[in-house]
Formats: sequence, C-alpha cells, structure tokens
Amino acid sequence: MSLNIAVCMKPVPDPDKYNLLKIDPVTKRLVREGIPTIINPSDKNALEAALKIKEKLGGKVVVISMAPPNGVDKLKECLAMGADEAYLLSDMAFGGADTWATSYTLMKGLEKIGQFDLVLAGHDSADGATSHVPSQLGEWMDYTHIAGVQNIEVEDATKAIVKRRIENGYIEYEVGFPAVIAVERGSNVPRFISAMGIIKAKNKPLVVYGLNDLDVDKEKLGLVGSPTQPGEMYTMELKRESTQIEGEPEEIAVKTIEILRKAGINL
Amino acid sequence: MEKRIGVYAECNKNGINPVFYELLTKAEELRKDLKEDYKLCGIIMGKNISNLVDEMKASGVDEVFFSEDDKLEVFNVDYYSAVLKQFIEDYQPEILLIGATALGEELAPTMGLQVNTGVAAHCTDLRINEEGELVQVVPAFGGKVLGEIFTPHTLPKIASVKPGIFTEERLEKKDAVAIEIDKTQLNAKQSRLKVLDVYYKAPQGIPMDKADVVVCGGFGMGSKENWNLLDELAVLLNGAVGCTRPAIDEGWVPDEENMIGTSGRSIRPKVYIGAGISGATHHLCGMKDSGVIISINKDESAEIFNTSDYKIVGDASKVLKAIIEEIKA
Repeated sequence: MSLNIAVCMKPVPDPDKYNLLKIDPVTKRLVREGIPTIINPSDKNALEAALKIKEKLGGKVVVISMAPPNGVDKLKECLAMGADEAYLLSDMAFGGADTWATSYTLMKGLEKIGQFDLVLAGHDSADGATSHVPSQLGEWMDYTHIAGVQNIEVEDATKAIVKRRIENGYIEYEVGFPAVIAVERGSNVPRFISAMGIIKAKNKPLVVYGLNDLDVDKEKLGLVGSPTQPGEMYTMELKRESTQIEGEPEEIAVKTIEILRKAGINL
Repeated sequence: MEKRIGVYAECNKNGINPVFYELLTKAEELRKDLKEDYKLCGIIMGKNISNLVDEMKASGVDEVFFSEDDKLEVFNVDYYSAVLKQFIEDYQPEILLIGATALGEELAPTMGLQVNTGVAAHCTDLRINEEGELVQVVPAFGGKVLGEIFTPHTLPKIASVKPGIFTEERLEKKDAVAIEIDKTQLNAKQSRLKVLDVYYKAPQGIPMDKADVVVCGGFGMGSKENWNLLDELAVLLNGAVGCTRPAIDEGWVPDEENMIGTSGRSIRPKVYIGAGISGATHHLCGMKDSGVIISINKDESAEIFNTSDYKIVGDASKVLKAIIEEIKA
C-alpha cells in the first residue's frame, strides 16, 4: 500500500530581501542582485508533508521543479531533506511562462517521470504568489485538487482527509486519489538538513529534462504559450515623512495620543 | 450575443461576501470606460439562495445568473467550476471578476484552465486603456513590484481581487432579471472531493476591516506576555490587533487570520500602529494605505520607519505600556 508522491518546488528570491529589488531604468528588467535564492517556503512544507506520508505508508518521494539551470542547487537541498529523486525541467523555451503554461509543462514533466498517486505543492510562491499552479496542474492531470490546506491526514493509499482554510474557519474534505494538494506555509515544521542527508543525497538521481526530452506542444510553452502577457513594470514607492517622536516613554505616550486624537480617534 | 462583464458573488450562511460589492463598483467603472455597451451581471450559486438572488437583483446589476442545487451547499471546486463554466460558455462574458477569498483563489485558476484563458491574480488595479484594452495590475515580490498584465487573445479575461482593495459604492438599482444557469455540466460532473465538515470560529472583537485603529505586532514584541499589551491597547482604542509572519511562527497568535500583508490582509485603517515590526516588503504593502502610520522599533534603521509618518525608536513593549497607562490615567 505504498504511495508514489511528487512534490513541486520553485526556487525563489529570498522574500526577506525584496526591499533590495530594483528595476533597471534602461533595460526595464528586474535587478535582483544581492538576493539569495531559496526553496519557496510553502514548498518546504509540501516536501515535509510528503516525507511524513512516506514514513507512514512507504513509497517514493520525487521532487520536480521548472527553473533555470541553477535550480539543481535547490533540488539537491530537497534530496538532502529526504526526497528520493529530483527532476529539473529547464529550457529557454519554458521561460516567461504564466501559470497556465507552467502547469502544462509540469504536467508533461510528471507524465515523463511516472505515475503519481499524490502531488503536493506549496500553496503559493513568495515571488509571484498567484496560488494558481496547483489547481491548474490538477486540471491538466485530471486529478482531484485542493488548495489552502492546513492539515493532511493520510490513513491509506486511496484518500486524504484535509482541512482547508477559509475566512474565519475551515472546511474539512475527503480527497480521493489521485490528487494534487496545495499546503500552506506553517502547516508543519520542515525538517532540517542533516550531514547524513547531504551525504546520502550525492547518490540519489537528479535528472535535467529540456524541451527535447518532453512530449510537448511547443505552442503551449513559455511566454508564447501563455494566455496572459506582461506589460509595464514598476516598483512601489512606500516612502513617508518619518517624523521622530522623542522623549521618555511617558512623553512619547502623550505625544502619540495627541496624534491619535488628531487622526480622528476618540479617546 | 450581448456583451457582458460578470462579477462572481461568493456566499455562505452569512450571506454574500462583501468583496462582491467592491468588485461590482469597479466593474461599473470599467463598463463606463468601455467603448461599446456592456451588461453588468452577477453570478451566484448555492443552496436555498433565493433571498440572495433578490439582494443581487437590487445591487445595480442588469442580470443575475444563479444556480441552486444540493451539490452547491458547501464549496466544492468541481461543482462550482462546472456551473461557472456553463455560464461562461452560454453567456460569453468578456471580463469576469472573482473575489480572491480563500475559495475564490481556487475557483479562478481552475476556471482559467478549464476554459483556457488567462487569470490575473490579486489585482490591485483594473482599468481600460486608450486602446480599449483591460489593464490588470498585479503585485509581485510581496508587492514591491507591480506589473501590468494583459489577456490579449482569450475570453473571458479573468481577474481576481482581494477583499479590501477596491472601495464599495452602492450602485443605482436597475430593473434586473434573474436567469437560472443550465445544469447540464453540473449534473454530469463527478467529484472525488467530499465535504465532511464546515467550521466557523466565533468572531472576536472588532473585525479588522471595520476598525479605525489597527495595532500590529511583530517579532520585536519578544514574548507572548508582551503580546497581550497589543490586545490591551486595541481594546482601549476600540481597534483590532494584526500581526506579521514571525508572530505566527513564534506561536504568539494561533493562525494567519489577522496577518497583515500581501499574502494576508490588506488594511487601511485611520491609524496603524506597528510595534516591533522590522518592515518586510509584503507587510508594508498590506498596510501602506493606512491614514496615519506610527511605528515603534528598537532598531533605528528598521525598514518600516521609511514607510511611517511617525517613528518611535525604542522598546515596543515599554512604549505600549506607557501609552496604555496614559490612556487609562
């Protein structure tokens, strides 16, 4: 009764450093210099959930990513965390894809790799943050799909019981396999990478597939295949006056209350 | 075929989600800016929703499209998308707006894939440009970057918008008709999702989007004990308490319900007070439209100070204590 599980992972620029992002005034392209790449935070939760399910029921966990060639570094981290195999889909032809084209490419990648009972993904990525890809991947694969999941219980290889976040509460669903389940950041505590994990990872398969390795319709790939097209881009100006309120805490309190009153707060 | 702009209305036992009215206001703006005549229509589905259909008829739309069925009692993405797809195929809206609620966030991309069109996620602005095209402005990188998105070749152009982004203005009531959506696709749809339970927490205090003051805490609050100061001050100011991600990670707040930021709630209270918050971009973008921004942080170089009207350099809990005592005095 073991499960074949795939985990989708996206390398993203570290969200704690987004204040360093700039747009080059000449090329109009995004400059992300000095911002390290990390595993998208909720994708780590997806991998942790997959590893826990494998520990309970047995099976295999493979990680798939569509990313530039340096994505292999983050896939190695996933292998060191405990994934069994890793696959990178990387090709210039995949570039500039919106979520429709991205989910198509991931579906084709998974089709190439094997049959999966369960696909886990982070609910959204820190950079684009659309939260579209898991649902759209589910549609492409004709799998049951559910997003916004805070808790997964898998008792056997046929279904999961999940809690799905809604405003001020949750809905609990039974999700029949095969399924794509998108888990939220904070839904579990991802394990740390151990030294042993790093050593073991060296002998695990890490495969890169390009355009010619996949049975794809080129019209559905990358920017060309995307129903949405990007236009102008600009950075957000967030600057305000920043007048300092000084003094001992008591003086600061008096001045702050004065500001609150002026802003129309009844005190 | 008539030209249509559709606005999807999410509903549950508490009625229609207010984001519908925010989107309707924006849809009416777009309708006026489009060169040709468009009908404004609302779409709603559920079980026993006749009173909500009546409410929608009075909302300023030209048409209400509805579906009532036992299968639609609680959100199931398979059934809800089947109804919406039927509506799209039968009535061909050119623009479809969906509130990016927890469930709308799932319905919109599902729909985009099923009818093979583009979805612009979490739009912060929607407008018609001089060429008559729909410009969808979406945030990326926590809101630090805004980008325009076009859906040039496919219909409908689907856009999702978070609650609280657009301002609601009630529209003039029209003589709206209510039209039932055909059930062929719904009846044919099989789902492997089964609803087991729906749970709503009892609301506590003033809802964040109604509060004039939001007191927001971050990692710099230091402990659960200090966190209580935020609650105490919020009660005194008749306001609400918000948080940032680290406060959830530290376990000072139970969940993301009141997390402020692009991936949480966007707020615009009269006054925002940030305590012990360093100012990650996605947080700043969730509170930047507040009236007055006051922030307290030990670190003089904290990023949040650049986005503040007033800055207080000091220990957040000491300053909060002093403010609480001064109000009580």
